[in-house]
Amino acid sequence: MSQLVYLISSLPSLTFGEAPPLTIDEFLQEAKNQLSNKRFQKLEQFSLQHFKNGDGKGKLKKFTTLIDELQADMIEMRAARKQKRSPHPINLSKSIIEMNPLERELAIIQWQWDELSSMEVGATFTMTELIVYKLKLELVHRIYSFNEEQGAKVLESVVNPSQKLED
Amino acid sequence: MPEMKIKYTKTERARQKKILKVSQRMLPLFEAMEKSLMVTINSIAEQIEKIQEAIERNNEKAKPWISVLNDEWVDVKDLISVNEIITHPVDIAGVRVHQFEKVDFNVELIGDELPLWVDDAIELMQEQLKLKAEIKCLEDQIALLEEELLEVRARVKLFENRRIPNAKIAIRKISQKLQDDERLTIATAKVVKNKTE
Repeated sequence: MSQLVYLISSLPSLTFGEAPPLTIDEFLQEAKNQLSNKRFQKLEQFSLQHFKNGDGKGKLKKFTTLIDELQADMIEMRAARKQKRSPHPINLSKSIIEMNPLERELAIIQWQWDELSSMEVGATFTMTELIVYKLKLELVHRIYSFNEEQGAKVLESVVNPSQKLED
Repeated sequence: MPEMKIKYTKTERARQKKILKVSQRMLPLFEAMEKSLMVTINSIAEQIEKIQEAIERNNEKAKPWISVLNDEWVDVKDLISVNEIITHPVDIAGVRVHQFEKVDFNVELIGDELPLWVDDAIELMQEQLKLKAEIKCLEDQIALLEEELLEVRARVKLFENRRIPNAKIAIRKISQKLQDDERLTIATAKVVKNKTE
């Protein structure tokens, strides 16, 4: 328990839309050093990027259900787009459809962030708080990767394949 | 230019007159062909310009959201590529060229787990690739038409600078020589006649 308290206390705070204060690898290395194997494995299995259905218990179970619903919303929005009809999402607002792809993605990430924040309430110094931190760190990193110059290069590398993408 | 050898005969004069007549009839045809090729090339160049503008417009339209393409969770580059540019042969200004029809894309199935922006990105990439393929076809057309234009210009020059002037010179020289010969024959005949009297 004290290790968990120490680890959580030592983590820098995360802010939506701001630069990530540490990498995912740095976070995992720190967690590996501080946590028991069992706890570390539990932490490792949670990822929004590599999300698997049905992960978690309690508050985390609720979150995985929300992510399942989000995926269902995305399926519905894709189907509606193909069939040229208005979509009927469960969680996402209909106004999202009107947004451009970046605004829409940010709105979805904001929704995930808010859901994660609500899970943190009353879960101070618990595994739930640590898992939420990891998931939020993933989100912060994802937002930070959205870059106009690099995005244009990605488009160019597909449209003009002879032009190599600079990493 | 080397001095041309001329046979001073009536048959040769008739042959040169025929060459002149045919050349004078062909020259306007080649000039018209040259003009038509130039107009066609300019019109294709304008088409290319319009397509470039459409590409620019699409890029401008996508600019507000282009940053999402660098999403570290998705590698969109592997999701789409061009399989084949489909064209059909047509004759433009008498030249056989390939007209753009459509692009056959290799598009990977977009998994449900992939973010929604991927659909928009694929749509944008398909449109830009299609427009680029159209430009490529039109550039190939211009290359073929320019090749033909060079040949036609060479023919126009050949008729203008060689065939027509040469035929005119040959006709003039032959006529002059034949006239001189005729005068000489008449004069000789007169002298012979006077002597015999």
